[in-house]
Amino acid sequence: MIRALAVYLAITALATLIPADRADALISAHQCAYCHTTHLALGDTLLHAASVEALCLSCHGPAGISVLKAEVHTDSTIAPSFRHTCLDCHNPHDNLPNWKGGENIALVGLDLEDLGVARILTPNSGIRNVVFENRTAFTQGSPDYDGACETCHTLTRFHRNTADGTHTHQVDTTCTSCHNHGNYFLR
Amino acid sequence: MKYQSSIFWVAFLGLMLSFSSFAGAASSPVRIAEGPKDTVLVSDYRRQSIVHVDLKNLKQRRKLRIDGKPLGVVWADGLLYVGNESRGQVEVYGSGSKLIRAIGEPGGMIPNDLAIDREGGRLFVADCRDQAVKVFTLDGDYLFNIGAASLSQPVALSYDPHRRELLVSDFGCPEEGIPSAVYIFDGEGAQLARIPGSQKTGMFSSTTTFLRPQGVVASADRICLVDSFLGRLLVLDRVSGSLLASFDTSSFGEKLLLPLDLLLLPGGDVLVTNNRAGCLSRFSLAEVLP
Repeated sequence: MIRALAVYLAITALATLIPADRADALISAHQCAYCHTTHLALGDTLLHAASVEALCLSCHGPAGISVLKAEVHTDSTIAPSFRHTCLDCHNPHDNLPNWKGGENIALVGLDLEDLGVARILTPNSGIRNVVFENRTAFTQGSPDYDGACETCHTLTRFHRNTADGTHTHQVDTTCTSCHNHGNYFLR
Repeated sequence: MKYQSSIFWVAFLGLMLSFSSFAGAASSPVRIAEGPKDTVLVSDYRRQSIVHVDLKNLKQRRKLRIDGKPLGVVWADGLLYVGNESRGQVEVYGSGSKLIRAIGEPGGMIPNDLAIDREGGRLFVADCRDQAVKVFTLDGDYLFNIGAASLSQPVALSYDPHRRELLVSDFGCPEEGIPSAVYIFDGEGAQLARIPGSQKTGMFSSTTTFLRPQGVVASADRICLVDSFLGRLLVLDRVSGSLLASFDTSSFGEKLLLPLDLLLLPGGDVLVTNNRAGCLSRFSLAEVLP
């Protein structure tokens, strides 16, 4: 009993002293124990689920309890086909500041290369900044094209991450009102 | 020997394909229920359809297109009941796939799972919007809620006609220290039992059996359920709640990734909707089910 208490206190002290990655637990449903456990862990970072995607979707996917429905971003009907999963866009531990000085919401952007700002490893544009400060601003437009949707897009007809293509498509509408996250961001 | 080996692999691959061919990788199977004429019914969230799957080869026989994303599905007396997440209602389809009526107000429910008490003429709905189990007549009249005092976040359910009991999977409320659990109610809504997914065994220790229970069914003195978090099919003792068996890989080698529902087949086999794999996975549980 005393040994167990000593081990517990030692672990708690270490966790307090060691500077860790940001892991502030956003909301009550995202407390550490909701995803991590020291026992029964199947994943490689003491996660409950066998894969992070399954973990996220156990609440946000079909038949999950969350009303914020999500699916992976995929389309196998076009060429080139693609499939982007949760961790490609979201940092599960906390919202990050973006490079413009604001703070992103909805866990959009990862701290790639430890710069402390929200970024995304895009499919064919390398690592890019991402700005997503409210749920209606998925595109930022000129000159940076760093909105949550457009920072990756290079092959879409609209809202690419450069000045190419059309940038006037449905600018008064939120992208997800037609391209829903729960529907793979497809129409 | 070389030929024998080749023949074996061709046969094995053929078998794998036949069991994975329900809808292909692009599908998103959610709930499964017994259907008419040797079929099972599967709600396909992505393809927005109810798929009639042939029990013999698990291939699609036909499908019914739903105007919205289907969740719970159940078939009784020639009628098909579908929980339509997009409409927020339970839709009832008759012969010829004709929509006969809708149960509940539009947008009034997230009908995550459905079950029917044929003898009592009642429909049970696990509603994720109001976090409640709602009871309706088969004509759609609301009767009452079940487990309002005990349930936290019910997600799935099944009705055991032999014991006249309702089994409910509940995610619990971890932030309030309420673990996930399986609840058993009688037909009138009185709680008979609660099987918690984890229990404290000491100041710093606990034992965990399941975390995110989804589809749940009873088989005599056993309870089978799938855990979408852990990716496992579990067999529990109905009385003690102790874990009797756990499976993460089907009899045909498919790993469970986000399993959401299950159906007991005659002979002790179980079909599981393996959502991320986009297929139905079959398990032989004859040794652990009575």
